[in-house]
Amino acid sequence: YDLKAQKLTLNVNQLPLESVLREIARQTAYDFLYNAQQLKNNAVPVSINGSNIPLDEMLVRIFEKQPRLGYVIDQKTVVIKPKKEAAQPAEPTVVQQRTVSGRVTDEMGTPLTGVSILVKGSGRGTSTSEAGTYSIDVGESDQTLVFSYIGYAEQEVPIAGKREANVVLQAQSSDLEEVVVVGYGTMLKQNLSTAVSTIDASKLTERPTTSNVLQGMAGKIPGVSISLNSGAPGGSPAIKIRGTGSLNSDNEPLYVVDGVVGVNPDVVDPNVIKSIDVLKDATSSAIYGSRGANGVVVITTKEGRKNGTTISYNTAVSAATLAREVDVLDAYESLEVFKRAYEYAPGRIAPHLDPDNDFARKDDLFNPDGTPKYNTNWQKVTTRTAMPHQHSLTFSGGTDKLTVAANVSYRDNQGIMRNTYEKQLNGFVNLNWDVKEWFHLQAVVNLGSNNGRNSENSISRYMLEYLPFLPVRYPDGTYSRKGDYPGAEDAENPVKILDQRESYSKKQYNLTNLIGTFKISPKLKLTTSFSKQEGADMTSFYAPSTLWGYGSTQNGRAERGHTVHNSWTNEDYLTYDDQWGNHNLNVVGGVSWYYDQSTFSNVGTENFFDDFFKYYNLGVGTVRSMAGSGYDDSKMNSYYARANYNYDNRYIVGASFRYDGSSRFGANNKYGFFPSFSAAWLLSNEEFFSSIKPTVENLKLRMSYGIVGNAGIGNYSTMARYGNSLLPFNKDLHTVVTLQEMSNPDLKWERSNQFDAGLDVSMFNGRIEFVADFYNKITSDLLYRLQLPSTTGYESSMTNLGKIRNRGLELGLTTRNIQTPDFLWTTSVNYSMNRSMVIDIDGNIIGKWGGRIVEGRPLNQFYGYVRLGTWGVDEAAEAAKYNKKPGDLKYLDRNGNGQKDGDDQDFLGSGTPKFEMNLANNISYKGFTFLFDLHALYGNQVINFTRQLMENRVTFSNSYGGILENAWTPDHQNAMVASLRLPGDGYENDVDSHSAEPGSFLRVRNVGLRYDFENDILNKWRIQTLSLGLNVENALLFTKYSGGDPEVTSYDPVFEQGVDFYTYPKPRTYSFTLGVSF
Amino acid sequence: CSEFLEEKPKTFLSPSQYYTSENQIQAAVEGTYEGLSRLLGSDLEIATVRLFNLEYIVGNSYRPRSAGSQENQFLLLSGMDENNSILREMWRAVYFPVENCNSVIENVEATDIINDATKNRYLGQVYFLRAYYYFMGVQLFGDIPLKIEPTRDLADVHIPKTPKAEIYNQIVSDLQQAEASGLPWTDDGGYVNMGAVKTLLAKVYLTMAGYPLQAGNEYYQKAYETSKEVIESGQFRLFDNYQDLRAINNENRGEHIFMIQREAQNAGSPFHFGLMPYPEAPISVNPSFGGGMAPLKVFYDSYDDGDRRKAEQAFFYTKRPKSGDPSTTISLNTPYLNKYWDDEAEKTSKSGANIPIYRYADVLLLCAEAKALADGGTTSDAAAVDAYYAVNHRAFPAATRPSSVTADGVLKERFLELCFEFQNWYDMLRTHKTYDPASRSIVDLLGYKAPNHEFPFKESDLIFPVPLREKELNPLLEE
Repeated sequence: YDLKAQKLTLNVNQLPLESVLREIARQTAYDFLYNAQQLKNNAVPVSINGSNIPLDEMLVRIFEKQPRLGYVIDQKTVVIKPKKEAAQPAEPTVVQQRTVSGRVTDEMGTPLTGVSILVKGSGRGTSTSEAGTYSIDVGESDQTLVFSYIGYAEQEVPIAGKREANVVLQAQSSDLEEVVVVGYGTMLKQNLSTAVSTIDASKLTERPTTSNVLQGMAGKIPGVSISLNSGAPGGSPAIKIRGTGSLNSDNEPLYVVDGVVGVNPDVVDPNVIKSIDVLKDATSSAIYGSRGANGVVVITTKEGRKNGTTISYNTAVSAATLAREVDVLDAYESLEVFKRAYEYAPGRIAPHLDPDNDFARKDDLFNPDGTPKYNTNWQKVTTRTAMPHQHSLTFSGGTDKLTVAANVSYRDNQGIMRNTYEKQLNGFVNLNWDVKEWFHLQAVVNLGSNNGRNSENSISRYMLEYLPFLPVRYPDGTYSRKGDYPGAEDAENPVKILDQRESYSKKQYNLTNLIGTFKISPKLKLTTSFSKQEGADMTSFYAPSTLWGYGSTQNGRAERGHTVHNSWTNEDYLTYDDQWGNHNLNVVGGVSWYYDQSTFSNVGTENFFDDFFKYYNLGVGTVRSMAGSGYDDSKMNSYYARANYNYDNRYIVGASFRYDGSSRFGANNKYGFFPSFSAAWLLSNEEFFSSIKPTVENLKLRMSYGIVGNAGIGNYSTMARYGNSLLPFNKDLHTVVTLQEMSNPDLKWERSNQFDAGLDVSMFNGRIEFVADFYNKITSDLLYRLQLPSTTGYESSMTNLGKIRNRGLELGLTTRNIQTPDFLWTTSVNYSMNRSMVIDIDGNIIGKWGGRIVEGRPLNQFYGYVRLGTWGVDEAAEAAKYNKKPGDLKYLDRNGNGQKDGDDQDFLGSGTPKFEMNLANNISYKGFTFLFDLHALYGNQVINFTRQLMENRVTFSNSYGGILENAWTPDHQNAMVASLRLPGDGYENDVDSHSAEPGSFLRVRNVGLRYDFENDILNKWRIQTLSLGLNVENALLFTKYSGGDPEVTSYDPVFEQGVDFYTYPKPRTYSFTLGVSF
Repeated sequence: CSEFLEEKPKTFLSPSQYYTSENQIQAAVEGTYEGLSRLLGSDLEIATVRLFNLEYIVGNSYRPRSAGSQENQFLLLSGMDENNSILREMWRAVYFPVENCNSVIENVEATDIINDATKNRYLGQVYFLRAYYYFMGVQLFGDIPLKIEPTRDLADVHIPKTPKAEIYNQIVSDLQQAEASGLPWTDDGGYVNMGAVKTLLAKVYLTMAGYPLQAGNEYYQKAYETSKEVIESGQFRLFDNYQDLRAINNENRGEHIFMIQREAQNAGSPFHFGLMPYPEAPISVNPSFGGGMAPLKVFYDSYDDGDRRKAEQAFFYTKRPKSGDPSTTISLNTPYLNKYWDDEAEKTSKSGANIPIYRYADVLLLCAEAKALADGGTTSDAAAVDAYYAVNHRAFPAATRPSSVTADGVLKERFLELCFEFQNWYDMLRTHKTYDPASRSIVDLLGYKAPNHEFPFKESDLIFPVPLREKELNPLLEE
């Protein structure tokens, strides 16, 4: 069977050559290799009519009319070259002296099929086989081979005297041919007129400890800020695209996985992702209408390999330890604090020094002279060296018409706190099938389950606050409790809690997506997809009767919760592509339906006669403590259209419209209309640019303006509702009804208007690439749960409120600093800054934890009293006016009214950085690759409420180190910390300027070294690729912040980023990685 | 498509579906009782109950377990920061329940699915409760917004303060509605009854006559007459023994006119546990959460030794049987409050005991004090003297009936009889007097430093500031 005899049918009139080639590729098993720019500059439009013409004849008929272009067929690849270089059939006159052979792979070691190899200066060439191998005959005078492949940097390899040349091609991430996945279709990056950034698979997983998609994305895209706010296993980082656009807490971007809208990214294993495209400006995201207001993250999964098979296995085995200990007092210092605190009032004496106080554990804890018997580092004993590991096995292969990618992955993500973990097992299949010439079917199935054992905030608290002179256990085996020392705030032993409190969460999820594409005509196709997502979350909890404060009063407390989510989406859209002369048009129009439902139930019982049963047999508990269930649903219906027009690859304009309906709004405002427009000018394709073009091969100016909506509110938000609760009347429980929500039928869509201006530059053959974007985003009719004065009888009401603005600048620069066959050094750096401003919120003051939102101010402003220090001995009279004494904290009396009141508060800095920067370097020498990745935030504040609380409440708990020196004494009056005293002596605990610390930091996020084995070794083992690596995540942190980590929030990451209240500490993780493929 | 996007909630009822059956009406009426227990909630620290703050500020109690910074402002009288979140909880405990009452009154008045007698009884309860909530608000915060219509438009939520005289008039008017509603004198279920209505009305009159309004002597007379109606109804009696006040079988009857209804499984408040000793003593199956409030020794010592209220396990205890081992007695070195001790909770660690709001002893003393004040400070009115004597005689069985009583003498009895029942702060606000345990006498409030306070009372301590957050949400609350 001669492939070249494959027959095909073409009926085209004045169609660009590129389109014709694509059509041929579609009809046959052939791939075409060409430089698009070259093609565009040299091709003449094609007119041809013919049915069932063999391929070789068809090619002859096409290329005889191309004055400047020729072709050469190598196996299954047709390489298009300018005619003067086009290969003639191998000339017998050439003296064949030797054969050079080798393998061509990408940076990850995956073999590249169909790489074009030309003998420099001769016009002879070949291409690589499925296994990435090639062999070519060269003459004496031939010095160099030129390797080129779409999406990769062209590379010249000297061959003088060589018989083997193995080549690693470097992906050219911004190659003009790069395809970008936009909503409801793909586009060439070159033809984009909007702000879209792409991350490919190799970048997403280059830090091997990233088990979460968002974690892998961190630092890769300017304008996308990803904060890893806690070290808890399985915790999903917080993401913000171009600042906080919305006042309600739903500021998450929309996730689209293979066309399925609204997928939870946590269930997508990074190993199965081919690429991620982030749609940042309004025009790119507007096709998703109301759901794209906070940006859209489009995830495309890996497809199977055509005509071949690859099996690959990747693993990372890690060791993780507490990255940074917080400096707290040791046993001796802590007891000195107690001593001084008791002596605050004359005649008082600390229990351990008081001979008359014979508290139960006194002899167990203290020597007769009052010195401690134990000195426990609670941060050490509550944490461990965790051993997380992950494994991923991928099968990829297929025939011409059917490809399959299948992956199974497992990760055991152990936390550094004792007994905490998160484990996930995930299966994935992506099948692509050309069922008929006119029908393509794609089926994606992703399913898995996730199990976790959780810690809780109070443990992060106790590990700092627990008293260092208490042992984990006494010699008799009993655990200590904080109240063993009289006067300390009683709390259960954190080691005991971690060991005995059992809290598990289990998730099961599946996503199925069927996408059918009908080629109605060469210009028109219909895509219809139906997807279903299901998920079940189950929580199980048991606190045994032995655990004080958890299950002791209840005599064992068990709870179970079960939530089931169900959703389906149907999308149907038509795509029309046309080209005539220099005009190119792409139009998409469609409709979508979305339905989502969730139900939950939870039950709990107490009073177990034995701790054996836990949550497995709730019926054993005699007290029914909890029973509840709920139901929720929401629906959407949308119509959308988009047109992109491109004239001569110089001028590009686009427009999109979406008409979105959501069940969440009142009858009057169910639908919203969201238009957007964009334009771009490819200066580099202009005639006048031709002299610069050899240096600057691409220069594009972009502008876009659009409106996107937001419906990120809860279901039934516009409906009035009554609430239920239980009240006894003479011990008989009645269900009583109270007011809960007022109706708000006029609630309407939040609208975000965004202007974006951007610049794309590529220079020196892709050695320098630069992207810049400026945006101005104004969100109006903000959906916000407005707090109401209590006199209304309602807590709050969902409302449309005012305007906020976000402005920012994003810069991205990628350079290949050194590029030789053996050595490659690439650097990518990005810079983001965002400035927010609350333009109008109708005069409201929106209180956040430690901060507030007011008109004329940026978001994320901390707010509180201004601590001046402490009252001195000679200020006693002045202090008395404020009901204070020397040694008490002294606050700025801003309004001068002689008392501390709300008006004395002021703004204390911002939780948002002035700018964020990321810098990643990849340095490869032969098989070795060295990577380092830096992350910096500058100019933000962190409210260290952990430190403030520990300083203020000495004797309730342990305190921050240094308090002995920093606290007020008559000899040290100029202090920022009040004199040490018992909490009952009076203390103040408001958020104040003293708790605001500079939060700037520079983190060495990752350092890694990888070795890729040479082919000659691998060939012996029949292995395609093999790599070994070592990596350190969260390697180093430079910051002035006194807490565990300044990248932190214990609350809402949207408005309370940078509030530290005892968060799960972060690990430093050392990993060993292995990747192998067959 | 519009049908596809319709919302049909399945887990809650909406006003459009409501007031269509008597069951619905009853559930809404009973919902207005929810506010009574709002201040039983706790804050961050262990063993806190918001209601305790109304005793801390009297100055005769302390927190054996250290306080949080916000409670310290009540405990030490160190100046109330308008940012103090406990203040906001008190404010909310007025207005959320009031709005429920407003809504129920409007809807029940409009309904015709129940007969008038039933309707009136429902409305009577709700009118009483609205008056109760407003009375708390006006006593604590002075001039406050008056709102007796349900909220209709969320665009119009800024309501100015109303002079307190108008608030009092509204309270009186609501209580008069309740008086005319045909409620029974007593109610075993714990619902509002005529005894509660008259008791509250008497209290309101007495308060109006006192410092808040100084409305004149006739209000003392009205207070006297209204409280006398309660006495003369013959529906209530003093229990013989103080222990009977805590008996589960006595809830909602006898001396108990009106109570916060509680039930063990769903009570959820640390009220009982918060009053236990700290450091913990093994006197309960669950002794761990105590130390929220205890009487000062000096206050305990100010009772006469012959006062039966001071007897062990009457109002206080200084020792208790060991939990699970009654033969062993645990002695404590300081007195703790016995008034709310729950024998059931000692065994089950769940307390569902009701908490008294009004008891008959309060009405008796109120009657005596009102008449003494109406008569210029001393009275020999037989009913007034009898009323005082009934309470005093229970404490001192040997005491003989005096021929007259003084207002200060009755007020002192109020401090001794009603201590830690969250009434004394209101007495202090209305009289500008307090009980000094050291001298065992009634003294002027301003300038007096209570035993647990760091500073003497001054005028500004007597009105709580409007919570800052409320002022921010409603700028009209700024003076």
